[in-house]
Amino acid sequence: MTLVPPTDLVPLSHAQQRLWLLARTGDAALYNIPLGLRLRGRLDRDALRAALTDVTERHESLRTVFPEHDGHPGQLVLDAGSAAPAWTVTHCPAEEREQHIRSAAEHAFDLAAEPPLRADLLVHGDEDHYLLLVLHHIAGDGRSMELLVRDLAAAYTARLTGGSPDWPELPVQYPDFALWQRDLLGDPADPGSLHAQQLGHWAGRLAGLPEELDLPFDRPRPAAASHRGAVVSARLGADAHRALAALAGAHRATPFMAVQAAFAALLTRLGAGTDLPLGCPVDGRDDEALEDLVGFFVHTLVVRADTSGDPSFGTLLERVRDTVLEARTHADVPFEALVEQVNPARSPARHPLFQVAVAQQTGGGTGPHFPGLTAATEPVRTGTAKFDLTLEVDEHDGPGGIGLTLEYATDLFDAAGAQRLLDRLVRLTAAATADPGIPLSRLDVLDPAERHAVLTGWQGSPAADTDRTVHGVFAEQVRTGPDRPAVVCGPRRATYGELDARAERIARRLTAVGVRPGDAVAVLMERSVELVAACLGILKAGAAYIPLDARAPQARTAGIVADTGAVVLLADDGSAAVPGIRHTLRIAGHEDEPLPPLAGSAAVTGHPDALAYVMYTSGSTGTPKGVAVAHREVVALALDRRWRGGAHERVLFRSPHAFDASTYELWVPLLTGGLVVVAPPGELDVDALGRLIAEQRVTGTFLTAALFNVLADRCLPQLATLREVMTGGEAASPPVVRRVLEACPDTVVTNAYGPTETTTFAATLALRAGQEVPAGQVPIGHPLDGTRLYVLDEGLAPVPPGVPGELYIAGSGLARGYFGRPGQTAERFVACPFGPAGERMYRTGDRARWNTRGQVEYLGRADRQVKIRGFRIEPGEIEAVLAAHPAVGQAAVTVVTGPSGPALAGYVVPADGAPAPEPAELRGHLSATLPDYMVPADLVMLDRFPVTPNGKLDLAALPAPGQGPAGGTYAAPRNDNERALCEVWQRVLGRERIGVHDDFFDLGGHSLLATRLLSEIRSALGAAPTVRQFFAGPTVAALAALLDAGTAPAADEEPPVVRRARRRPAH
Amino acid sequence: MSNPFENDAAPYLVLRNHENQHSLWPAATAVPAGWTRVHGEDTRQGCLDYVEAHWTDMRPASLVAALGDPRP
Repeated sequence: MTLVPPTDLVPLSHAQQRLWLLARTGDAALYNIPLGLRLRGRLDRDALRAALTDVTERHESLRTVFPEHDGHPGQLVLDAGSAAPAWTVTHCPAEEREQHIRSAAEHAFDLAAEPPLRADLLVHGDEDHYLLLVLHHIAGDGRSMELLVRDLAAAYTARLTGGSPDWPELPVQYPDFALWQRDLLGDPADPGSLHAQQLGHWAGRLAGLPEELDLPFDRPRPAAASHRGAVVSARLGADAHRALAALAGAHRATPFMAVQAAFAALLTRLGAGTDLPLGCPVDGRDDEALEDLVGFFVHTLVVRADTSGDPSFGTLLERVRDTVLEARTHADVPFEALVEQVNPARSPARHPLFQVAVAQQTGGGTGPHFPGLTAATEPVRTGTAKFDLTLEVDEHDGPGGIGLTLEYATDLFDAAGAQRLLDRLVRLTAAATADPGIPLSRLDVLDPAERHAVLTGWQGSPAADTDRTVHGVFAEQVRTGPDRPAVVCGPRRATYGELDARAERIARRLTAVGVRPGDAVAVLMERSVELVAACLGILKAGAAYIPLDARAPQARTAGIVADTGAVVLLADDGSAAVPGIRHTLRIAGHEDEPLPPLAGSAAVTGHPDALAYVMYTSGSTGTPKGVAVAHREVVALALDRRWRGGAHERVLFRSPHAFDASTYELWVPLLTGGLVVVAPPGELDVDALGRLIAEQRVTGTFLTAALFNVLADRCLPQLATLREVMTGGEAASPPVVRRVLEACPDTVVTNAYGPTETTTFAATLALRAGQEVPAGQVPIGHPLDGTRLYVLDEGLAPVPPGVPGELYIAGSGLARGYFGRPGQTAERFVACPFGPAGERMYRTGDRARWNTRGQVEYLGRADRQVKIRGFRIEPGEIEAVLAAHPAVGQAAVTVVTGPSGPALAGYVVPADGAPAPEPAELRGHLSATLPDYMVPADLVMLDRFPVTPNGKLDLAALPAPGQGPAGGTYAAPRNDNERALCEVWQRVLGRERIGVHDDFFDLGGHSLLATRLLSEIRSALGAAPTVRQFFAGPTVAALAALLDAGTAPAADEEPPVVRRARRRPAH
Repeated sequence: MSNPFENDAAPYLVLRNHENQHSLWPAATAVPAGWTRVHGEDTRQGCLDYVEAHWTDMRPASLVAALGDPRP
């Protein structure tokens, strides 16, 4: 490297160029490097100040400003005399120091005009001094701070004795490096250039890079990162350090690489996948001439850690080692060029290419020497975070051991979550070094207390005695209270004794036509007292009931009858014949006949493991599957302790009989001495339902989420008469739950979760007035008695709290399987590694996680999670935000196939009585809390949602959205601003016919071009959006809207353009 | 997140417990206590075919024994 003749304005180095651009987004403190220097003893302030000027004179980067011309920044080295760093002296007691440091460290540099170094001397008495140096990152890096302090100490030593520092002249200065770097890399367009060659390498290495790592966040990612941050720390002890170093040595790697590998392994185990791009800052002072130079030489490599195939830790370490070494040999190409090459969807929500960095801390060694003073440097934290997570690895921290500091974005993590993450890293590192040959999936990331909590402590209490049949428990209720009311339906009612007699009559009629224990008997009846008797009668006959849905197509009904082999049907008078049925018994009108004689032996006692019913699920695809449930599981549900206390004494039987909520509605009251309040047959309108609840003094009911929302809108006073209202089937809406709790202080609102395969409910969360309803979602809570919930990863290992996994359910409630479908049963009801030997667990296909309070949170269907433009998206999350808008009653989000691949489509039913919200308003509402890639391209207003026969939203039946505005077709400008903007865009991008909805980055734009574009917009229109605003909506239409709204800063608020000046030669 | 039971490319086993219940099981994962391998390694479909052919009475073995009833 040689000295380059000075010119007026030198181009920036590539790293500076990128930083200059980033620094314009307005996060002042984000790119400051503060350092504290504690000086105890008699300080010569004049000497210190003179020494600081000496150092500034020595390093041109410390007196370089970055004026902008035509949208391009240049570096201008100022004369040493006129560019001394800002210097303040403040007298303040040590306890006020921190406040001073904090505000000084957040200084917003005006890079165009202000030298990038500031010094604040904080004085406490005669002997306690604290020198705060704040350097803008554009002028230096971590290593620069060490050099700066070293040179400052040398200059101070010289100045103390009236001399000037006698240091060897620096061979080159930073501007020389910037020019040299450009020569070295050559023309990107020249395929033979180093730039093109290295870029070619990276194009291959970074192809298909995940755009965002899914980490166990404590909070959802906001639409735009605030870059607020904090740190937590932990330590690998001397023994762990030694073991790690030995392991690294055995694999010809460094201990730092071993920590990188361990961090990658941890992220994989926490659900981040197996393809992990990690940012890795490296010092770029490869040339000897740069060794002592202050300047911005650090650059960030992307180390793509590959944890796929469940390798051993040793294998992973070698993979990481090779990747790091290979990256370092291709380290010259600018990061921005990599971003343009990979071209990820830009978003102000997260850093491109990687969101997690692992950095090796340099430094350590001996402290600086200031004669007559005790000097020590102290790191200063700025309360910022450039990335989601940055792991700083300090191997020089003390005599043995590795210091670990985790900087985390407070947008996403809280301190406890970040600390847990770091503690897990320490634990995993210990496990991996102890046994480097075992696969990553078997490294333990749970501490013993957590393992106990998720496997045992947070599980349901033991179930009541379930060694009984449904009709056996009912018989006990008949015996203890034959005259208590059991069922009421309008004017008709029956006591336990009467209901038992009717059921017995039906059982005998069934036996008389040949029904035997173990048979299936179909039921096609409207809701009525007789229907309740019919179900009991079937059970008394030893058979299982098969509820048929009167609204179902005949082919489906016939299919179910054939599937179960049922030959007997219990039906209302006048109902149509069902194909395949040999005996249809009509129930009505026989109540007063004498009991038919017993056929054959005495009443069947039954077995708890015999089937009680088979209920067919209405899968959206394929043939329906019959979920076969044994008596034991119904008894377990009905006798669960959570129904005690009186809230489930008068329960509304409202669900279609073929829907599994009817299991709760019938058997919880009947097996506990309560009353079944039968709703009139057929569909019930909401107002009639509200009236029924109030008139019949219903105490407990289950409502689907959709119905709950509607009742909350229209029938709040009636809900207030309930002791407990349960909602489920779909995720509960927190705002609606909150509204009901506020309006109905005496009503418990319970979020209930359970697949049909686990007998109606597997978990519930009861919320009472005054309790806080979480903003994001209502947890599904705690497992039922005897039920156990497991949240497992892909290796079927339990994941830690906070980490999403797939939900498995074991214990009480588990169905026998799918009737007559051994293959399908064997793939969903699988061996359980956790409970008693030989037990099974049901895999729900639902994503869930434990929160730290021991509640399970439902995260949506595993198969609904979609990836769009590389982002993993959970439609339910978007639905929740949409539904929180006051004008929205119900919301659904699906994925549709658009002209440019899969895209999100949102559907909205307006809230009752509210006018339909404007799509633009909803879009604004979504953009306020969600990242841009989660805002659906299309928002469709509907009068009502299509529902399945069970009352659940039928996603497949939602209409396809019309051609959306972002659909890829040309949209002409509609007003003067849009026309003017289109012209600028076409000029800057060198393209014709740019539509107002075309994305700048899809058209080949990149960040640097974006600043040029904004600069030209400012010239043409007198105002321009900020870079941040631009990234949030890089289309002509969005920019025009900002200009129209007047929220784009006017030209004079931008940094002034500074006239060119000659750069003085370095002396 | 891919489910370990849904990978058509991975090898699987069929396990059986004391109740004659059958379970598909990923061959890469340790067999839980109380379960015996009765088939595999095989393809996922091969394992499901085995289950269809061999698990003909889905009632738990203890129920069949209690009823003394050989009827499936």
